[in-house]
Amino acid sequence: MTVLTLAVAESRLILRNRTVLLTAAVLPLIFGLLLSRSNLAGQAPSAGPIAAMQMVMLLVFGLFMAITMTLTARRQQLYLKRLRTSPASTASIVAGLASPLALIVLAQTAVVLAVTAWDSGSAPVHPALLVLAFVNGAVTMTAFGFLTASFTKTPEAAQITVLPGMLVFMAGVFLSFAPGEGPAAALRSAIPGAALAELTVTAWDGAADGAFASIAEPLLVSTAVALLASVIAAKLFRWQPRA
Amino acid sequence: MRFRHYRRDLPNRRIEGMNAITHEPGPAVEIRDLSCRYGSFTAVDRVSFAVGPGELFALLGTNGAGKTTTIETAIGMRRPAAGSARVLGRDPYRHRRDLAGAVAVIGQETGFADDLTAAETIKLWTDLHRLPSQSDALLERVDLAHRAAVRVGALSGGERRRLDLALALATSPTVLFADEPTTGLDPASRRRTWGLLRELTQRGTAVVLTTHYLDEAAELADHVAIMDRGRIARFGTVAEITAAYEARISMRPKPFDPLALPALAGRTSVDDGLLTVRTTELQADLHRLLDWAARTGVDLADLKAGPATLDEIFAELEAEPTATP
Ligand SMILES: Nc1ncnc2c1ncn2[C@@H]1O[C@H](COP(=O)(O)OP(=O)(O)OP(=O)(O)O)[C@@H](O)[C@H]1O
Ligand SMILES: [Mg+2]
Repeated sequence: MTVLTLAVAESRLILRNRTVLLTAAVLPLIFGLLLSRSNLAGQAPSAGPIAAMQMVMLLVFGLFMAITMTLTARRQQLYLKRLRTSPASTASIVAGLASPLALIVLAQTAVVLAVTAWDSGSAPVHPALLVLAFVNGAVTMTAFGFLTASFTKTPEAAQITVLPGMLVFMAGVFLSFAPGEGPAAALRSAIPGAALAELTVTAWDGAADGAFASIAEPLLVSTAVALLASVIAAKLFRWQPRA
Repeated sequence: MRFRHYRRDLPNRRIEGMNAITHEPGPAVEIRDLSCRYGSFTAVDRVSFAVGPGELFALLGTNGAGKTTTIETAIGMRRPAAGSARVLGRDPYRHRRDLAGAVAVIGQETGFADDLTAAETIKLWTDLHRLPSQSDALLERVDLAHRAAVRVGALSGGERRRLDLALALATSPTVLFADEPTTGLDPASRRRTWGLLRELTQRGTAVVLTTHYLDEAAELADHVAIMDRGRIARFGTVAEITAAYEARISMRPKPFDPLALPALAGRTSVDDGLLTVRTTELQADLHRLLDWAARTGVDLADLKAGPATLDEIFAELEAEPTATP
């Protein structure tokens, strides 16, 4: 209810600001589609890894970076300070501001993955798992965006402070492509972005072993990591510009 | 420096909402030995006061005296370095969400999303509080009905201030913290705001108000604290505070020979032809001066006599080298 209220207000703000709309809605779509057509696409053995990279990229731009900037901008406008004097919880404020962005990314992902499916002549084996991967990614990106915003003073500074996060997500994706099992794999799932990529690949190409066994671990580990990031962020986050 | 006279005749109000708070009898706001620091700088230094239901407490003070810091601590936006704040019997830092339904805040600076309209802003606020929509009525109360469809970013400073007030009224608060709610308002809007604040106190709301306008405090406040460099330098009713200062008689005698003045109980000073007498014997000294003027044929132009005004007290406090607690 509170999340919906905040999400409606936030959607209005996004729709009424053309620059934001352009950078949030159009640019990631172009990048995403370019990736389908890139050399990488030709070299990959299957469409799964391509879909994973596309999903991560869209979420990094459209959610991780966007929520970091949104939180810092809304803090500077003292909008967050105002919300803190309402009964809204920390989680619902962050979720309320993130959900319109997540919806935009969801639409973009649908378009880009449809193109990838058409290009590769393949379709995801487990479409429901693809949705689960997206949700997992959205939660992770929001949590790390919240964490990044907790040490970002201004929206301008966000252009720099998101870089470590972006590197980590990229590393997560590439490491997830490396073969590995047991404790090493669990550790890998802890790297933000890895679980998302792993789940996407499984959703698209199918799992070698039973599907459940191969998704449970990355799902649990990455959710725990996102939760931890959120808890730390909530502790560090300043709700007003004046410390 | 606490006072113990709260109005106890008001019924305890039960606040409806997600987290209903039953208001125990006693002060609605109780600040005890509160200190706040920014790094090593002490912005608020052992401040204490209490505000009962239906009372309006005004915090006056110089820029940087620590008023906003005190309020932000009382609304749970920051944690005290020492001492405590209690609002409706609870720690505002730990129970921020529980208190949000009963406590309204008008911050020193307005915080709105610029691209929402005035009406949407109110709707957002009442939705967050799970209250029925009432934008029209609220905008009407603060004289903003004609600006309902305008984006907040396009409102004037005074209009934004009034929108702030509308949000505070929306939740019918048990406690209101208002940090300079009338700064930037034109005289008519200021009076209107005063009326609305009075309405709130009459319905039992405890109000903590900061202001730089001394007439505002005199007009509205049951009790006043004058803050200076983090401390409460003066406390009491406006009458009590002024009573602690010497009364003033001022005039421009013509012709003026300072040596010809009669013997007075008070101290005299001359500034640019304006003679000021500070005295504890207002009537007697005034009589002596009038008598002297009548005898010598001196004309007492611009004659004024009365207790010290808050303006004068303020000026004296500012001139003091260190705060006197
Ligand atoms: N984040 C901060 N870091 C360092 N000092 C601060 C910070 N915030 C406030 N201060 C200082 O604390 C003191 C009290 O500030 P505060 O805003 O409470 O004063 P105020 O009484 O509300 O003043 P005004 O009338 O100008 O609004 C000031 O000297 C201010 O410079
Ligand atoms: Mg202030």
